[in-house]
Amino acid sequence: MQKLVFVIIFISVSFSYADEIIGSLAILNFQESSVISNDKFKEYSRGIDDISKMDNITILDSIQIVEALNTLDYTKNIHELFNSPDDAGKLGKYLHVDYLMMGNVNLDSIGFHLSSKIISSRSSSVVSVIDVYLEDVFSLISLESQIAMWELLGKNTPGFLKQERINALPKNGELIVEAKTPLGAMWRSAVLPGWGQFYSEKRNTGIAFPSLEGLLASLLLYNVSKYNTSVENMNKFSSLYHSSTNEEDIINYRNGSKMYWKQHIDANNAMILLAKSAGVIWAINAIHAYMIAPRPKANLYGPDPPDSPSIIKSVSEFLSE
Amino acid sequence: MKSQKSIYLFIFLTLLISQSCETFELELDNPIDTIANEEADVFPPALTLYPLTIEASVNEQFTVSLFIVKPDTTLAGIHARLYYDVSNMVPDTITPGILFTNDGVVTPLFTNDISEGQIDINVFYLGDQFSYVDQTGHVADIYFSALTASTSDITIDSTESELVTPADQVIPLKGVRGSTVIIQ
Repeated sequence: MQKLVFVIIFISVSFSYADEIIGSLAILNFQESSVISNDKFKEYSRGIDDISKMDNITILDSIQIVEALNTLDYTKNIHELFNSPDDAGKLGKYLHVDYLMMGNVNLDSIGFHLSSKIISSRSSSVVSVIDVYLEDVFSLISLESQIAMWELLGKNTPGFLKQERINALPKNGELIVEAKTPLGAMWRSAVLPGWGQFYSEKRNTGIAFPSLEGLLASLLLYNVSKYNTSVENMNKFSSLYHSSTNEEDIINYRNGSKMYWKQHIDANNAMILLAKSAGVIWAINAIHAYMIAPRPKANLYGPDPPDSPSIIKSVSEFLSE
Repeated sequence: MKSQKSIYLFIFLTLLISQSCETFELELDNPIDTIANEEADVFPPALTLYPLTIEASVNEQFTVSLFIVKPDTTLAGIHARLYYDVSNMVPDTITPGILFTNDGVVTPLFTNDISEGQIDINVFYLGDQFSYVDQTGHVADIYFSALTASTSDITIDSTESELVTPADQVIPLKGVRGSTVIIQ
């Protein structure tokens, strides 16, 4: 029976863990705010279409985004979503996706600045960022013209120019790193059952584990009280038994002593069982917290669509092509 | 703060459980209890001394009571022979118990003879009284004075002791239990 319970728990936990392996991504496509001119829009749309063919990716246009935000009673400007990871996280949860990807173009002190982010729905934290400055692109054009001169002359391009080209290209986005970690969830649940689950925003199990522990603790305390009462009564009856010289009283005190002795053994066995169960569930709760905690997804975009580049390909690769 | 509380709770529960996990053996051994006697291979009808262990100080007086356990027949008299260590204790007085006197209502013939290390107690209903007892009960109290620090036994001689029915038949005694006296 105990084995069966463990198998059921293990399978349940495994399923909940397996559910986390592959992620899903929603791309917020604010087309009307894009700096891309109408002439170039066709190219941009073709790129978006290719991406939309990927299994785990959903692309939302402005109308869909506004509709979703209205349902969430989001009253701010939709472009502010870019700088509000908490609201983005809520939107991600509403859309049932693991991550949200969005981009924004700003004019700051350096120049035009393209910033793209991936935000985790679970932890509402920025898990990957890529920044590209238009200034860098202009520098790259100048550099490319120098390289082109060397190539027109049929000479080998000097190494320093090649190195400058590498340096000038925008770098890959940072690796996806969740602000909330499995270890963070595990130690929290090890200290207080359910805390790690709440930390990972798994409220149902976050309530279930402490409730179960609370129930076991209550039963444990009840049995502790029963044990103490039984021992007290057993000692009382045993003392009366030994001090009595009346045959009838002796029989009654013997029976009483035996009854309370059995009760104290039963209560003790129950306490051991409950303590062990509480310990096992405490450990399962910590392991569960580790398993369900936010972690970078192994495959955000699913299998590559035919004849289409991976969206994880770096900007530098796009530009160098 | 939350984690500190839970650590205190954990320590409290651990202490509570570790303290509570102790189980006790139940030792029920009263020489007047038939079950306890049977567990000690003493079968009824038996003559036993109560209590099984007596602790006394030097020059202190202590009492040993003589009991008949489960005669399961009518008894008109008992003869009990006890042995004790003369170097450690000395008997002072011997008084009849409530079984044969029926708590003072009847007056049986009650005699005792104390010689070196040996006590003979006789309790008999006289012929014209036509009385008998048939249950477990208190036969006599023997008052001793402790002499020297020691541990010794007061024993009952099963061959010399006997139970007698109103028809003057001797019933064989199946068991006896003595007492251990610890003088400090």
